[in-house]
Amino acid sequence: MFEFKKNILVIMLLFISTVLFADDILNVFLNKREVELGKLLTLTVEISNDIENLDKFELPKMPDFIVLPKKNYKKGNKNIYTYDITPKNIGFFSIPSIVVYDKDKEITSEPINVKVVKYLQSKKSSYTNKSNENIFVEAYIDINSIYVNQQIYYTLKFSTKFDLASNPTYFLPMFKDFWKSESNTKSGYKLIDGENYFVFEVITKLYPMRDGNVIIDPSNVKVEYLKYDDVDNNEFNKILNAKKIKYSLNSNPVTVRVFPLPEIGKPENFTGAVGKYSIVASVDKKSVVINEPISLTVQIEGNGNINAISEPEIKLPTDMKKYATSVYTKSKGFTNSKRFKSVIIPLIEGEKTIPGVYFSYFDPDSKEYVNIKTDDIKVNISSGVYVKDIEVKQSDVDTQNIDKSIQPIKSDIKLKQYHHMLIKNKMFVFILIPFFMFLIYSLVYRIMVLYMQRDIVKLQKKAGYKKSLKYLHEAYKSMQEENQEKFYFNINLSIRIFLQSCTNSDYINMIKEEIKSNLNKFQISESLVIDIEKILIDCELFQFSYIKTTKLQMEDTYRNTKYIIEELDKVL
Amino acid sequence: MNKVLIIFLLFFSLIPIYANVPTQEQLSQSLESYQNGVYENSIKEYELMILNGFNNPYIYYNLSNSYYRNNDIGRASLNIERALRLAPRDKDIQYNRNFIAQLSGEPEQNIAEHIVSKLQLILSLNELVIIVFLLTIILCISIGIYFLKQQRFFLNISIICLVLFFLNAGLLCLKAYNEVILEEAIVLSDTQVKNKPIKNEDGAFSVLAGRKVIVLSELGRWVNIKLSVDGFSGWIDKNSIEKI
Repeated sequence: MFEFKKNILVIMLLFISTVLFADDILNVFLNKREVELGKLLTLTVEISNDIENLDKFELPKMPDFIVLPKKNYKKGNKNIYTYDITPKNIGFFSIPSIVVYDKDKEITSEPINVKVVKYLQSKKSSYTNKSNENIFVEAYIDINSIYVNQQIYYTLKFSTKFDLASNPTYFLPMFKDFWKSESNTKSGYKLIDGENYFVFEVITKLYPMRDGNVIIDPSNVKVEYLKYDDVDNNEFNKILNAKKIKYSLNSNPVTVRVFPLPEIGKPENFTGAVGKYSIVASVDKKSVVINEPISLTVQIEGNGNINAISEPEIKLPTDMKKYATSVYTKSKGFTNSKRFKSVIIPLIEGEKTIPGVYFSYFDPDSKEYVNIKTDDIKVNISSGVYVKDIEVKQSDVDTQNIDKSIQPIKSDIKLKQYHHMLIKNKMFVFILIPFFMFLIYSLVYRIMVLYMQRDIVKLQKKAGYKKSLKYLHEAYKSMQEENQEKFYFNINLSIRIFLQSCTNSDYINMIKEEIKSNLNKFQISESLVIDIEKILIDCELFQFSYIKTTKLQMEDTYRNTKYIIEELDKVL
Repeated sequence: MNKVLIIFLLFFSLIPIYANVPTQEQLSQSLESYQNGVYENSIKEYELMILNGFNNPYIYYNLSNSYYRNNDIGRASLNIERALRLAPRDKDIQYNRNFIAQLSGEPEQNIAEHIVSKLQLILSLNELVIIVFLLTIILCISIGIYFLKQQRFFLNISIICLVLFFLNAGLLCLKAYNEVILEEAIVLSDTQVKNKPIKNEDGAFSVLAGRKVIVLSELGRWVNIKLSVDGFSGWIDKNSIEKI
């Protein structure tokens, strides 16, 4: 038993010493074993100070990762090297063994396996933002790790199973760290998980302006969809009774890892073009006479930020003169092109060569600078007189030699002084003051005249009509409260006030017989007089009596009174 | 009626014009320099006339041509823009402006921008100010007389004036926004526009001489600009642009 324990102790001691030995010489750590595409990993290599050839330490080649040295420092008797490594693709990859040599002895670390996924499982739900599985929005980019000025596509994708009442409205983020090119939209129906979805996509070309981790803020989509009543079986009714529901969705933010362009190998003529480009040069004529303009066109075409490209240098021989260049930019689908059109004037006869034009760009796929060149162009210049096709004045000879586009100078100028910015001259305002005062005066005058000429009877009638409607409204409220006394009081007053305002007689204090005889003097139909009398009788009867009326009766009285007032308004 | 005319003439004569109008001799001298190909002298002569306060679109036009011949597209563009503001209907000025704009890499405008720029070529800002001013006066008088006399004739005049007033006031607002409120400038030489107002910052994109830009803000010797048609923005050295 004792023998057995001793053996175990020896084995354990041996094991601990191995671990300590390994710790002392070489240790390799990786902060994560599973990572999202485009996200950063930190690789730490600890090497003991005791070993020789420490200065010869190099990381092995890691073609599946972009490796950038981060920080080197000393801690105790160890040299610590840290690296930022970013995976390039999705899949399982391995960080190879790191080898250091100590007195011809090879010390090797274990390879480390890394899993690279598009999205980590835990974050996926927040990314897709499926707040409602029938309607959702997501944002993504085509490449997660890119270089400064490299072209990427940002896609905002909105999908829904609902019928939309109108087209979705989208609000893209500011893209504050990017140059933004035009956005294109496309929409249609797509099968997602076996179900038919309406999909609306907004695709925007972006070019990052700075390196580092750049976050694109969430986009927003606002929609109005139709919610049908499931109870109704009639399809037509379903559509007619559908409710419009407004819905607002935010997409996920998108992180882009942007690398700076390498300084090593940067050509002198590099102006910031990143992508894949081609260059062609051509001339409109290969055989000309001295002074005859040749149009040289240099076209650069590629899938990068075309606005970042400036005119490439054209090294002409001294016997050729180059004039101003016109620039045309065109964008079609995935490619953009820029055309530089220059006018060249040959000065001496002979066979001349327009040398090839150089252009350099950074290719993010091969991760190196590429220098491309057009072919040399041979032009035959013969002696002779360049005859222009239009007759020009001597003063314009120079103009015509260069090109025919600019208009000639003006020699017959009328020496007339033009005013500077009259809009800033306050004198206009001062001049207008009396005219505005005149307008105000005439307006006040008109109002006064209208006031003095107003029709008092008509105004009285109008006021009476308004007052009568007010009482009628009060009566309606009383009817709703089933307050019989108040209802008939207001109905009574409503009719009497209106009659008083129209006829200028004191109808409020008249008895109904007097009212009847008075109304007969006017051109009021007998039936209307009878109706008025009937309502006044009802008012007298029900206002103060204990006889209860029904709401239906009150409604009938209310309608009749309203009708009477409208009819009287027409007649009186 | 004569009195009204006298008042108007008196008013326009009151608008201060401080300028030394150049003589025909000076003008022919600068033309001669141009014809002899001594563009520097021609430029000097025209610049002197402008410096003395002489404001004439055709002087700016000739100066622009001289700069163009002298291979200074930036200043050629600047002066043709100034000429266009004073005489927007002149076909030669319009033609040269479009030609120089093409040289400076200005992209094609979309339909809406094209319509707006065409509208701006109908009348100059000064012409619009005078038209709107006169219409305001006629409108005040005709409405005022209509209120006083209640004659149909003045009501008709008021309606016509009101329609014309709104059309011209709309154009005036558009023009004033573009020429007074928006600070437009011209890039004088081929320049790299930077993302930040820092000397050692890498250029974000390049602009060719003569390109029209909008000045957004200023910070020391740096100016934040926006390209007039395609809308890219960035920082540029103050000395590499000049305001129109």
